[in-house]
Amino acid sequence: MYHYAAGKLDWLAAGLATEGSNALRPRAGDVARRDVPTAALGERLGEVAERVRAAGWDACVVVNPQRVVFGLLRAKELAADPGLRVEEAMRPGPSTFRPYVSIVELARLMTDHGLESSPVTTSDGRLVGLLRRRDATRVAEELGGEGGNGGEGGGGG
Amino acid sequence: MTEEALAARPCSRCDRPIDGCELCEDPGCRVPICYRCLQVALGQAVPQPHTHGG
Repeated sequence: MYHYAAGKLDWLAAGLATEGSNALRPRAGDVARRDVPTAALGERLGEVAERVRAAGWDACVVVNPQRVVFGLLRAKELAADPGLRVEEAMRPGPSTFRPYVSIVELARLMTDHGLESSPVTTSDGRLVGLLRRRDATRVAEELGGEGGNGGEGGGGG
Repeated sequence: MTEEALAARPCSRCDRPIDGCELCEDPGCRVPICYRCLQVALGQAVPQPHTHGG
């Protein structure tokens, strides 16, 4: 049996306070939108899509009661048959990133791969927020090449 | 592009044959990347002298 002991990266991944010059650089967790709509697996897609649109969003994260990310509903999935259950329409197991990932590198990767949005989660998969590409690229451009990894790790999952 | 050709595409960073892009999972991805290279790109891991075993 392996007992996982949380370490420094888990501290960062939980969004806890950090210090030093590197802590001043914006990272994925700082830019991710925490007010992203969420949905449960058993909900009807039509109800979720209506709620998401009313909130001014075009994406929704599917979570369980502990806010562990199960899937993602982007615009394409939200436009599917409204009678479907969320679990039938969602993109299961989307790529997720830890909150401490460099926003510059992440913006570059999201642009290269055409990702409109990606969930940001803690080490144990709990939703922190949804990082939108336009937010990531805007902050990366403001930094003007600053804000690399700077010795602290990133993380994809 | 055929399914076989897509499956044979290597990681754009290390040339390792991969089934698909670890990041976007798009079979037509122009810059497919393997899990290991993604971890390195994000700062989660450091490049190893023997990238894939050894």
